[in-house]
Amino acid sequence: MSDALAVVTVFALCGLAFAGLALTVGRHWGDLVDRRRDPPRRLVARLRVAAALCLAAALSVAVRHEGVGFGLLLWVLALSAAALAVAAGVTALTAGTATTRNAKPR
Amino acid sequence: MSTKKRALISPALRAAMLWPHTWAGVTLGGLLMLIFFMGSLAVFADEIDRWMMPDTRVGAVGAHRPDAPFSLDRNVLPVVERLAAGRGLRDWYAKLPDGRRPVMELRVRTDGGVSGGMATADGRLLPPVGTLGATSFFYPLHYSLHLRAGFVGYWIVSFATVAMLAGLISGIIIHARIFKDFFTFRSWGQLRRSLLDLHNLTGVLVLPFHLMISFTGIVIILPMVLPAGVNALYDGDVQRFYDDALGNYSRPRSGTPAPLAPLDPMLAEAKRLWGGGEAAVVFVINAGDAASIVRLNRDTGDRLSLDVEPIFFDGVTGAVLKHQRPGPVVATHRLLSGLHIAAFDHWPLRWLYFLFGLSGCVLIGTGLLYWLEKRRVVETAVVGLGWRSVGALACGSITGLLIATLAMMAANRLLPATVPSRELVEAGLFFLVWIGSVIHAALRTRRDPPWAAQCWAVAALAGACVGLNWLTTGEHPLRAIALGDWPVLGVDAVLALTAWTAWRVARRLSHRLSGRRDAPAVTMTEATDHV
Amino acid sequence: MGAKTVRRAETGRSPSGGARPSRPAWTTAARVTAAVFGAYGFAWGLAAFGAELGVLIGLAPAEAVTAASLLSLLILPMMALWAFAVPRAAVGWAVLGGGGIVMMTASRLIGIILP
Repeated sequence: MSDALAVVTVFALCGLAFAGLALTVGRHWGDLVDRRRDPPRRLVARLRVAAALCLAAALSVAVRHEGVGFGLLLWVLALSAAALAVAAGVTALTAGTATTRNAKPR
Repeated sequence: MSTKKRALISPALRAAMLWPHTWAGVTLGGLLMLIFFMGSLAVFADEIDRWMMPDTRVGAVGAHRPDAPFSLDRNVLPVVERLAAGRGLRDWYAKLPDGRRPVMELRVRTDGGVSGGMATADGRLLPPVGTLGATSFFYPLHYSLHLRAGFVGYWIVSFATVAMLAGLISGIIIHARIFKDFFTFRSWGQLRRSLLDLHNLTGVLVLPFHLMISFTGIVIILPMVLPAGVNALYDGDVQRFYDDALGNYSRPRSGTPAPLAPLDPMLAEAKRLWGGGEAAVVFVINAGDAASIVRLNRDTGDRLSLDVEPIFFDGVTGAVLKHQRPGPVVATHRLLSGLHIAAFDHWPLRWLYFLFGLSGCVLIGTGLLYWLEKRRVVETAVVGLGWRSVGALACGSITGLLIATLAMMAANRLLPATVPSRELVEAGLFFLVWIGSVIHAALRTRRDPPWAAQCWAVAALAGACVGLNWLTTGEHPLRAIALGDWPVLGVDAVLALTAWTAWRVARRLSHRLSGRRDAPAVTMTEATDHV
Repeated sequence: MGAKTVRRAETGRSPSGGARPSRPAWTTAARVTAAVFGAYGFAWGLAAFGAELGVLIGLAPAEAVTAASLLSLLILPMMALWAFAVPRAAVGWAVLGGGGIVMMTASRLIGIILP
């Protein structure tokens, strides 16, 4: 695996994990999927497991490709970067519609 | 985990944490902004140096390791002789060229004073650069505020950094819905909520980096700012502690002249002892003396740790005098220091450090702005002196700092090389412009600090910097791409992005000001994200 | 910060307690000075005491100094915050200042006893 590809993979896996976790948060589930009810418990549990697996996979790619020190550092920083990216994505997807604004408790 | 948290953090504790969090932020926010912003610039200090020192833009095509093997005796020593100019040499050092700095940097102490300069890898001395650049101005400003006497700057920066750590911890305690708000940024609606969301997002999501960078920042200078252990075990002699911990070696001049042994065999021996790796710095102490010492530091580009593994040679015989590996705790200290300094060659990590450093600026800036907005609600009619002071401070440390930095970079391209003490004129301009922008902010803060006016200034200056680099060096973006001069291209690109963002923010602020009175500051904080 | 101190903050305080701007100025001043100087004094004491203790258990001096200093830096911000969380400012000063002095004295004693 080339350097760039490994880094991109680490970021993508972290992003996927946080995207899944974002859906388990009631507010974002309501905005993005179904406003009427909370995310089903089974789905929340599965999303959490999937997110944990993605994060573990990202860590393993980072450590295998960059070594323990650089890999761990890259993974921790990629976590933050991916979480910020997911937050930006959630904002972009939900802030646009007028219904979202009205439905939100002020 | 969340149930455990609920049990641990009571409402009373949360309320108690709010006061120190708020007031540490309001009083030290401006200083912390300076520290975080200059630290972020320091991540790309070498690249900004290339931009500010056009003569050193040599061998950008990767010629920093010439075909002929680099030789200390053939490439470095003649430059040292030229810098000494016949005066008696005492000590000198040379930072050797590497991937990010294609030139070597030398400093020579002679009987007749100190002189320094830069030279190409093949030993051609370059004309004086006439600037402190990022490595000698922005970077020291980050950790010492240029207050060297008695380490005063170190103390102030460390104090602010402990406050930053306390602010991070108390912030996490105060924040009631960490998991519920984990990804939440409500960009619409009330400005106060948007500011608080952004404050929480940068604080929570980038928390590992902020904790790490604040902690390791103090770790580097720990023996200076917490010398209790050094006082107890080394009678307060920090130098002796460092010699012991890092395996340094020193001895006084003997007074008997003796020639220096060839350096290249020492370099080869050092590489063998390091088990590979390159040399980063060569020091010659007591040059030309029978007690001369040659010290070689290892390049740390391939590792996280800042352990430079110094090897000390006898300057006359070339025998190894000392090569001591640090113990496990000191090695940990070097690792923590290395995490902060980020001297490693790793571009994704370098960009993440830069961006997360700026996210620290956003964290501090949104904190200040949130305080201002919240107070504005309380004090509906008249804005008090305290509010105006914090407003001016926030403005001076957000846009004012940008203006000063950009003004210095513009001056760097405008001042002719013949100006006496050119580097000091540049640095003086930085401080003058900064003070000027704070005064401007203080005078113009009525209902709001003068965000729009200062954003226009940022946009104009950043744009001017890109243009001036083109005009004075002939290096426009297309040429930089053709040459593969990524450092200069990168600095120009970030400047252009700054100009564009500041222009958009300024335009929006001006529109809003003519329309609605309040609300513009959220875009303000987005602006700091890009510089 | 241990669970014990937190629980004390939880139960032992009236709703109006703690460091609030509404409290008398001297209480706030006592907490701020305890957080700045008291916590630093505590960290200083721990760094000095830890260094001597480290040598006592056989660490090299440079290792002992570094380990104790790192530990002190780790607890310094938490101690500073604790000065605001503790129900009474005087208790904060007593623990931070007193602890610092005790540890400094202990470190001196070890230094004198050891050659």
